[in-house]
Amino acid sequence: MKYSHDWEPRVLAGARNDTLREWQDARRVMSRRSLLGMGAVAATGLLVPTGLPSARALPASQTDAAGELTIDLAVEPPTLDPALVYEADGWSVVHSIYDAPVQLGPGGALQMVAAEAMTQVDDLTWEIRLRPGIAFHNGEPLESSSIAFSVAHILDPETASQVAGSFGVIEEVEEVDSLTARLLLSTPAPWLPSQIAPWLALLPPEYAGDPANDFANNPVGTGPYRFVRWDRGSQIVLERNEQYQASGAKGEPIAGSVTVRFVADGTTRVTDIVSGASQLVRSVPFDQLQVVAETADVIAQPIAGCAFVRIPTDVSPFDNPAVRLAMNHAVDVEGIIAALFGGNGERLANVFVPGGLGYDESLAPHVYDPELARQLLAEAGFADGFSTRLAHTTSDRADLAAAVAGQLAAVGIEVALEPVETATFNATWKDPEAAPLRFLTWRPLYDPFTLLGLVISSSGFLSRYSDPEAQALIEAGAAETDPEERDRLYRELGQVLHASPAGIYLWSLTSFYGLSRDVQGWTPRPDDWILPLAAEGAS
Amino acid sequence: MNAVDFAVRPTAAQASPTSLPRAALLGWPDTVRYSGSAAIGLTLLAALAMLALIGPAWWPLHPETQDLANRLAPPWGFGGTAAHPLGTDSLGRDTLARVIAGARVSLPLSVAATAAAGVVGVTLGVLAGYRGGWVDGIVSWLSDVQLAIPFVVFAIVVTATFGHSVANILLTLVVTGWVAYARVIRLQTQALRQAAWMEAARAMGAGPVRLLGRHLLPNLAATVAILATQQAGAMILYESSLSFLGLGLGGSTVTWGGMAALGRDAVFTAPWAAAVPGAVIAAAMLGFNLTGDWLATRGRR
Repeated sequence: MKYSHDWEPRVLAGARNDTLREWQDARRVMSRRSLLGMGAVAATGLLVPTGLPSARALPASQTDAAGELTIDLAVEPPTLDPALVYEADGWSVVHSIYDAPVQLGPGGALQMVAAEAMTQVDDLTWEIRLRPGIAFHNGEPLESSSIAFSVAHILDPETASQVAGSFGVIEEVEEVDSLTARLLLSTPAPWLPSQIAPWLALLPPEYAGDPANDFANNPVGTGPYRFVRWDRGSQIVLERNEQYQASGAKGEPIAGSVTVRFVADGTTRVTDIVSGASQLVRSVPFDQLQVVAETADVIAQPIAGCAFVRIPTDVSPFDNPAVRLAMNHAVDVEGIIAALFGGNGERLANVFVPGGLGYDESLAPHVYDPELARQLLAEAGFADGFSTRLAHTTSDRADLAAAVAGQLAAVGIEVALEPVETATFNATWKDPEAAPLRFLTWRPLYDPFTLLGLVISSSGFLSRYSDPEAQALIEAGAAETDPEERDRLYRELGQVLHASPAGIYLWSLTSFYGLSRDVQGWTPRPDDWILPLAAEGAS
Repeated sequence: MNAVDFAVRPTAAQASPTSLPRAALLGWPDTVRYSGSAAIGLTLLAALAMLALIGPAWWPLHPETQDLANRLAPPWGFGGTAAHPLGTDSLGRDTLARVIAGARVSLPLSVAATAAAGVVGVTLGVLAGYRGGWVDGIVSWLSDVQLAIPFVVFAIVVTATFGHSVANILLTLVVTGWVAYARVIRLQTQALRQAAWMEAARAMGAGPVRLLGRHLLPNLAATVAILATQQAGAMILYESSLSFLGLGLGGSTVTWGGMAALGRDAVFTAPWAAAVPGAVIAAAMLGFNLTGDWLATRGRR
């Protein structure tokens, strides 16, 4: 396996934003100034007044290791129980407080965090050896009993974790000594690290075992920051864990006190970073990158994840593969990437992404060809097209779903858009009454096991896709312990999913963060978690 | 009962029961000529109605046709071209074509909601005012309950329960709008019921149908017309607010509120994308409100 993908974030500061200008060149943009009648800037010209010293004359909040840092995320997690958090914003908070034994890096590389080593003893045994001398925020020592306790917590039916199924492969946790535990499996599970990295945050058995402590709302971990308080509906406050033993891969704290705010509206996040109320914001709306670049840096971080429109196969007309192929040919993905992402990202041939297992550079994505799409539809008996519905969450960019829907309409497929709350969206994955098409983004995909198991496998918790050939390969890939062979199986699966699509495959993800120039050393991550940490090798 | 609103008008009606209603509806041309705001209001409404009626035939571009390479083009006169006189949105769709498509949704919807709310509100108001007693009690209670429910919260509940559809948004608007009619009409009916000429009609043996149809309703017509024009403006704003918040007709129906919502992301770099639909909403509201104000002024004379 070789992954030539470039994970370097692109930093676009206002004073040197040639790249930003280039992204915007395709658009006829006009500066606010010329709209206001000053007319000094040509209509197609550049927006950002470069090198103005006044641009930085904001209330300076010098962020250093002892300073304060305010971060704007978009989605507030319903709980801080690590077993019940499933998306990047929730993980951003959870993994600021907790450490898992390991984390994954590009290419699925296993990186040690709280563990000194994690090795596969045989097909059915993983051994985790924890680093000595680590203590929880409340003083409890980190020992191998924590691994057993945390696994048991995920498996507990009362926890009702969506990943209890995949952790169910762990039959027993054997405590070899005070720092070493062995996971004894019922079947080979080469994908286990991809489950451990996000979900097996190490819990303090004594503290978390007492229901009175309500650890889901008052978390105590071994991570870089300790939990201070949670103002529901608004913010979570953290403070630096002075005892933290940083691992090079995850990184060390960059601030003494961190306030994580949940700001659903993109324009509000932009206002926050521009006014100096926040120093780091997630998901800057594409059309406001220039506004942010006037006072802060814009970071374009490639993310190991994909966007696609899920197509179910259990309902007409989508049960016909030709219809699903036609839909893939109907969407000008490259055009959307160019216009709505400034060229960041690439069209995907299936759900596998650069930097993840199973990505096949040689497999060309479907080409944009509306004529071919119409022809395929006609051959499938839908010469006049058909009507359907497409759901997306209200926290997604509405323009992306609208762009896809508009292009499907151009070949005769009338798509009614249904923006729904994230909670409703997640409750209706298999609901036959809900919109059959749904706009998805999925990250991280270093190891595609979770996505395949939940969304593509015919037995998946969230799946309405079924293809016998794909199913056999999904199951074979989940059981194959040789990484090279597993990658090969997934590439083969990629071809099946390409020919019998499970969705309209769109683009690899890019995140746009806004970062105050006062913040030093923060490391963006290809899994899109925003941790207030500086990792090894970061400037 | 909250005696906050409209208490003046029924009293005026009582003072001159026969001169009020007809006068408001007679002699439009003259009064329009002498009232600048009425002229503006009626012109705006006529222009928007024309846009909705013959717009698609007159302006050939399709509201859904995308041109991603030409997104957020500024309006003509602000650096744009005559090909897209009002510019394009964030997917390169022609704003003028979308304003027209939005007019064909927003205007009929607002008028229908106004009419339906009017029928419900007037019926309940007349019943409450004429019958009094427990009927009045129930209607007054219902309107108090309705006024206590925040509009947006109600809209969220309806959308979450029944989904996005014309029927549901109409339901939301009617449930929100009927109270304004019912409260005013109830008061006025109470006043008219005791008027001497109603007493006379009753003494001459007129039954309830004749009393209501021949004597009461015609005397309420002017008030209803005034209320309706003012309500229509409010309905435009309500409908736009719902669409702006994503509680309206869903993402694929073109509405002015939806256009403003989509344009909001680009508000710093391409303010016209939100400003144009915003201006159209303002124009429609202004049109209805100026017309309504003028009718109300006429009514008071």
